[in-house]
Amino acid sequence: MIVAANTPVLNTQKIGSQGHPILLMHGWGQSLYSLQALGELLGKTHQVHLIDLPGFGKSPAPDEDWDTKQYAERIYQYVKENNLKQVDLLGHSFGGRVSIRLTSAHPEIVRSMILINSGGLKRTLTGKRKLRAKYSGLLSKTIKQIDKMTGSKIFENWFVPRFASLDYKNAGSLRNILVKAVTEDVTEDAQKIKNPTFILWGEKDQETPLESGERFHALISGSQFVVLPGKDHFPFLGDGAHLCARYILNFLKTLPGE
Amino acid sequence: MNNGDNKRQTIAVLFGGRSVEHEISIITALQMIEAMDTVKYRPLPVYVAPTGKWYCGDELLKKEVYKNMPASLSGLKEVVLLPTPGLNSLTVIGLRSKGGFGIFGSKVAEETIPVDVFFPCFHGSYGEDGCVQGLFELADVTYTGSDVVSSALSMSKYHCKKFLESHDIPVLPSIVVSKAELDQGMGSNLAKMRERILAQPGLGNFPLFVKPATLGSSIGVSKADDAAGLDAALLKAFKYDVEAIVEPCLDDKMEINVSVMDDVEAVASVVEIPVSSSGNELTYEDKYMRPGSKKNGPASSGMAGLARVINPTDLDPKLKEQARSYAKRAFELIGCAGVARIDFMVDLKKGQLYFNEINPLPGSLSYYLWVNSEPAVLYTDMITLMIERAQLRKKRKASVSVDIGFKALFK
Repeated sequence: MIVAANTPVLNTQKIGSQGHPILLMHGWGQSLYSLQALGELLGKTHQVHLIDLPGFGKSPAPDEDWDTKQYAERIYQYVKENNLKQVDLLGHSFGGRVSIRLTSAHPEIVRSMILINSGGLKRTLTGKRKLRAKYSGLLSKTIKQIDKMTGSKIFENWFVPRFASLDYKNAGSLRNILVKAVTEDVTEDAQKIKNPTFILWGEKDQETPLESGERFHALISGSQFVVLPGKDHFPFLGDGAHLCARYILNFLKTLPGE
Repeated sequence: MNNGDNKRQTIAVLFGGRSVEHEISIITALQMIEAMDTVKYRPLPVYVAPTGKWYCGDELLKKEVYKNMPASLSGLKEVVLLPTPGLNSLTVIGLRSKGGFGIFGSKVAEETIPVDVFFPCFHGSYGEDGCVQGLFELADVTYTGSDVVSSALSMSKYHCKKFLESHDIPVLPSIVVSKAELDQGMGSNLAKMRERILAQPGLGNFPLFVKPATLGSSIGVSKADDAAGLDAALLKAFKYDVEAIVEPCLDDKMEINVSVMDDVEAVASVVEIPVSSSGNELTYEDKYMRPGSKKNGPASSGMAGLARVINPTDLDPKLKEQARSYAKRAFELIGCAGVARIDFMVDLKKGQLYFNEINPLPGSLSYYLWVNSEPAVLYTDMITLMIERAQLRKKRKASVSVDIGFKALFK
């Protein structure tokens, strides 16, 4: 496994001192703050580690463009640095990708994995969406070539504002990491996972649709799957944290060592 | 585990209402729906506009809808709860003809929306005081929280104090005065009223507290430091209620609150000390308008956003225990159900605790107290418990036989 030469400092926040340690990893463009309310509820009975992933919140960005495997290695190091034998991993969206990479690479340090509206699977596009994706993909390639030949900046000035996702626009220096992450598919890694896995999914998700959740459920053997009706990509926001905590705690209760 | 196809029970969440606490009720309801176990339950938001009309629709789950009131009402279904037992549903009224194009529209049959449990999230008039509970009783539907009598008794501050006093729960002396008394003398009776108040045992010295007799949320409450102040305070209270209650104002005092929930036995939460911005009594602004009073919290999070000290370590544990035990007793004596918040006043000079008031439908349902109790209770679990307790009560009530006959008429 490739470990980056640099190991950027991780900004973390710990809540609660009793119970089994659980690491909370946020989504793209977020920080540990997005999972803080959930962390506080889990922290009543568990040792919660909220993590700012490198490049987000107060954690500095890595020196090079990491893929999610390198993110996973950094979290693996964190577990070792803190002398944690086995942890529960909770990942939302991008943090879910990292959780899957980490669990697949180092199953021995993971007691269980909890995915909330996780990323990692390529969308199966249909109809208009498929057409649009094909069109914009071709367009972006062509424009990039024109830019390369003529030194123009059509891609940046014309294509990005019209066709790029909000995440891409806001990614700043992390753009290449974002591109790596969204073009990756973690299917193979997910299939390898034997650790107890709980998949929680806000039903009305536009970013990582319910269909992704169903596929993860099918890919990860023995996984449990709960759909939260009426919730979106962020089911734990506001007082939704209580609802998510209820189902997460129900799952954690069933694990050995509780 | 897959929950895709189980049948969810419909919970009609009622909020808003003809009450000065209309807005607070919206916050309480939206928070509650956010935390509700949507795997088990399907929330159906029912908004009661200030006009008293009821509206239904998922649009009501979005905060932005309330910015454009009453214009946004036009996109919603108007509904009523008919007092007819056995319907267990809301009836849609004001239906326009189907298709809607002039003579081609055909008249539609009455539309109903089935409801399993009614969950009132009102604060104050008509929603927390037994009125809407009366409608639930007439319609014979399952509803959460306190019933008609316990709601009404809780919300009438004076009756509630007198009742609890008769059960040896300490209360401060008080007197009730009514607006009708003033109206009779075309206002000239104000001086008479003042004298009568000051002649009451325990109310002879300023400062005094004047509150509307049935409102919560500190609306219309003021402190009177002298005779002129008392007149002004009375007139202010009468703006919001036809009766006012006058109590002494202790000079070295502290408020402490406890929440109680009904379970197999009533259980009490940890105590809290709400903190006012001015060092004086809590105002409506303290309770609901202080931005970011909750650490990093959103600007308006209702009672959950108030600055407070939960389970203060420097408070005498004996006093905490006493408050919790009085709170449980008050809750049970009044016959409350669901969740209530009981507010006490502590005379710091004497170390004496006094029951002040009980809120049978407290702001944010007091969940912020339960999540900090030992063991912590998640808001989601509170809501589920309230629904399950309501269903149990309904079942018990249904088993009571009611014999209605016509024999006496034809003897």
